Amino acid sequence: MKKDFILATFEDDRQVLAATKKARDKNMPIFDIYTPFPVHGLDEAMGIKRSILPYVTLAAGIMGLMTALALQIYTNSVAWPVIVGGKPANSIPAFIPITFELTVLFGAHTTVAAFLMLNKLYPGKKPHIFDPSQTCHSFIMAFDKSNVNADEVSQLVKEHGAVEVKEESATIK
Amino acid sequence: MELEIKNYEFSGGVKKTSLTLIAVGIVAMIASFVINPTVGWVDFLVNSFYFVLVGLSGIFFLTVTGVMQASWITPYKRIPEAMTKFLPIGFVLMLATYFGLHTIYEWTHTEVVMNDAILREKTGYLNETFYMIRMVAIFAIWILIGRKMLNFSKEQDANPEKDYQHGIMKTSAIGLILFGLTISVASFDWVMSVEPHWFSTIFGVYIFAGMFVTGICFVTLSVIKLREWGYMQGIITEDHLHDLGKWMFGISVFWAYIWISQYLLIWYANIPEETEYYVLRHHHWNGVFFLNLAINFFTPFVLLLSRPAKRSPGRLKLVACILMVGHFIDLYLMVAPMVFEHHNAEIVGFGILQFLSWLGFFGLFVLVVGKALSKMNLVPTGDPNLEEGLHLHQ
Repeated sequence: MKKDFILATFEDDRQVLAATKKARDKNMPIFDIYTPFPVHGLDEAMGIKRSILPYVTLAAGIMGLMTALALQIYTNSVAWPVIVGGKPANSIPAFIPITFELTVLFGAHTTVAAFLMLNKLYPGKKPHIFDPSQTCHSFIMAFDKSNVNADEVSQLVKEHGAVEVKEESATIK
Repeated sequence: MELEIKNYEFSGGVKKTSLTLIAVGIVAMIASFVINPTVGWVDFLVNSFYFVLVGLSGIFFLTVTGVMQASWITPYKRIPEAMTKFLPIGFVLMLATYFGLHTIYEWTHTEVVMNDAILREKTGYLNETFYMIRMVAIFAIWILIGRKMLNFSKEQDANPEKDYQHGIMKTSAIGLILFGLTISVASFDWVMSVEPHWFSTIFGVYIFAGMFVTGICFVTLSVIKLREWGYMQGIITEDHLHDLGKWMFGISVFWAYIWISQYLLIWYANIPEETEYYVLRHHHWNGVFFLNLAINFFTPFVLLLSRPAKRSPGRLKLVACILMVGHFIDLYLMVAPMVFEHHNAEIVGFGILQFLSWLGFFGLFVLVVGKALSKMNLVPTGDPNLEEGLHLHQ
């Protein structure tokens, strides 16, 4: 579905940061901000909640840990007990390296998969780019036109040094 | 950016507390010696070496960040600098263990060595003269590196326009190599030779990992306490604390990794001359053996896993205190079992005397570091990395 956006272009990361803080103070919902590099403090200024990614990693890590332990204990003492190196059947120290490896393996792979899913990324996806300069030197603040008052927005961003304010309609998944 | 920096004043409560702790420590030390001189010497050696290691960690932080030109530590780099000031006092303490050599080290007994084929072969290295020469040389190197790094820092504050960074990098690089060699020799000499038949090539790394943890814990405690007392306002942010929390968490895991690396290979290979070390600890010290792992690995792992925990001063203080005591137990477990076995000695009252004497040495350490810190600018204003260090983002 196509939406109308108000786009404000800045050429300085400090200006866009100040404008974001001001917009939040005035309760203007920001749709998104497009920057050529990560701007420190922008996430906090936009009020973006922290990702659930660490919890996904933790859960997957615990899964890996339990899988490794279950696999080793089952094969070593239930399915086919063999004495190796004179150690008793369930020797936890011998299981530690594999347990560690599976914890990391499950954790890492699940993190990558969850990251792609949470960001709606997949191979061959075409990202929407309002203006090629957003990948090079300019910072574009996008407002959803139906949520904000266009005059207030353009006044606010111009106060903070926006070099251009325009309207554009686009489909963003 | 204009900074308003209040320099640290070492007075009042902290001074009184550290002096009280020293008094308590002296009483505990004397009590320990009176009850059993063997236990007394073990307490003295472990405590001295423990705080020498905390002081030494200052040298490590300064050289490793100096060679990398790292800025994360710059706002509070005066704390590791002050920590290195403990090394001369640690030197005196370690020299004093000379009078306990016969109690602690089996290889100083000529009749034992002469009747033991393995120890006879080792006399070229393990003899009292060479031992003391090595001790003096090691401390000379450490104190020298510490003084050089401190002088650079002081001069830099006096003339910020001049370039000291190349000198710092050069000294740090050479200092790091010397540090790596000397800490291995020191841990082999002072701790591993308690059991002269036994050897572990990773032992120096293991001691280093423990040193790293205790050092970071002391820096964290100091930073948080200074902030509570009204210093470094606007200089130390939550991001700096987060960094220190990540260090505490990560290096505790590193310590556990080195612990298992030593344990696993010895356990798996099951060669009697190697396993004796762990057999002894499993027999009489089994509780302490597992307590060591629980305190030094599982506690920081659980308590510091989440992000808010690493940014909370209260949580960091708690974990830092637990870890500092934990690594004392770890070091004690490396020295005591063999010495006690030889002399038929035992700890009285669950180690309360040991803990009190540790507190006494802690008081001494705080006294020395606090005094040193009060003589310097609290923030290295001449350091070119300061600006970057103040605007830390994680």
